[in-house]
Amino acid sequence: MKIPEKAKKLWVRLPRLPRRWRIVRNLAAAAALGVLAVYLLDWPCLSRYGAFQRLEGAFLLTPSRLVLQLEDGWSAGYLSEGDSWITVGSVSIFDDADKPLNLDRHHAVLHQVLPKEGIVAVLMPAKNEDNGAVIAVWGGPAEAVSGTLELDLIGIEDPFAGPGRDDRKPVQGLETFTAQARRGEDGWFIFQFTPHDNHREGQSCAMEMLLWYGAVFRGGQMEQPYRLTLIDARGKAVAEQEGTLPPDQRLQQWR
Amino acid sequence: MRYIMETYTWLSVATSGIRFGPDREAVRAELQQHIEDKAVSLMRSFPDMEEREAGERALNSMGDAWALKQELARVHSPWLGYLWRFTQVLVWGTLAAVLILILDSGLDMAGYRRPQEAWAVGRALYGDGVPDWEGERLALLQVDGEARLGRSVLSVSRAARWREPERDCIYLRLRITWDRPWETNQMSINFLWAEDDLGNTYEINSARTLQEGWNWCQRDLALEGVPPEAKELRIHSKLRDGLDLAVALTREVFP
Repeated sequence: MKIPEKAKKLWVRLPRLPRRWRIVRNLAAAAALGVLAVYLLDWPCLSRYGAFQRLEGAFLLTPSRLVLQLEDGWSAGYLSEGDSWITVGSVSIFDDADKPLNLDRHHAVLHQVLPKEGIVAVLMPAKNEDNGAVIAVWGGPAEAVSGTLELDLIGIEDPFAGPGRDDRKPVQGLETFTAQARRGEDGWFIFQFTPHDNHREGQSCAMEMLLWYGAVFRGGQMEQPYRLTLIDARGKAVAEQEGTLPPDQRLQQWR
Repeated sequence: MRYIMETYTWLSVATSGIRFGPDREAVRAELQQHIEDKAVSLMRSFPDMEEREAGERALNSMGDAWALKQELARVHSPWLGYLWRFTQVLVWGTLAAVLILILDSGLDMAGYRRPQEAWAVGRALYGDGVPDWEGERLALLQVDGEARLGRSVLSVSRAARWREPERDCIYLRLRITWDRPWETNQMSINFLWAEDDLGNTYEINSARTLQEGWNWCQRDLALEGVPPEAKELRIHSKLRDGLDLAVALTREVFP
């Protein structure tokens, strides 16, 4: 393509900036184009915790404080608290998270947003180092210094079930797990569970099955019954609560 | 011929201290032009002088090439030139990235049409437009509520009472503006609720329009069944405490 003479003459007649100002101009143009590129990329988030924080902000849940994080391979679970609420979320990394150029592979979900009322027990959506579940408890009498939590797991589906995949199945019926914890300086009890290791050959532990998919819980799987006992410094029970872990709200950011 | 070679050598030596290529070429061209101008000037003053002799004299008058080399090297720092080149690459690189992203995501023409539709509906709701649905405006209200919640600001800028075949309702233009554009989320409006000063509560789940900008989203919400005696609405969040956006319903500006 040949540039017309008129355009060439106009180009020559344009005032020439000194080199320093050309650098400034180019940097400003690059910055503006960079912001546009990031906008077109849907503001990619390059860290898992950043993706969780972003989702908190998207649902107006700021400012908050991170209480606990569990990172487990391709997924991570986060527990945070604000003045009046508790947030449990997870961030998973997918090969294709349906975002521009597939640069940002984080998929964040808020599983629960709960008011700080009474005693609140939440299941973290990630495994601990022992492949077990973690349940965080907030509230209870101020004199409570430790506690015992019993968790029943019922009806956990076997992710391997299906034609030709029925060699390992979860324990039929009920499995009960027990953990103890002391109250942390931040007021939280963090109960760390361990899967049972006394299963027969070919049987899986319900806890391992529950957390197999990381944060992708199937309908109702998070809602498991528990019994909590909080104890004061003299060993006296100061609070007892039976309940069901809260359901999965699955709050996500849609664009 | 010898004179041409000498000139070539002199120019090469004199400019060899300039490390930034484009500068070196520009200075070389300028010096060469200067020598040629001098030679022409000599031939004009001394018409009998041969071109070769004029050229040699012009070259001799330019001085020592090695001394000039040092002086030019001192004056022409290469870093500004390299920085300029780098910013040029940066601009073209980000421009290419933007074009790739536009091609990757495609231009959503429906997205350009939607603001116009929302604008027309807004004019019908609160201005002098004609609605494309069945209904009649009973009153236009002057409202200006605003409240900050975490990293966002919620505001109500327009309101009107409407009678529609299946309901009486109040339309409110509610906008959420985020401090961080990447947290913008239409879904967050679904987690608001309202109450009036008579104690009635309202779900916020119906809207006439839906708009989104780079760091805000806005809906013209329909609150059904708000009695004419209600003097004030208060908007709260279902997920947390801390939001109490008051909207006065007493200032009718247009029947």
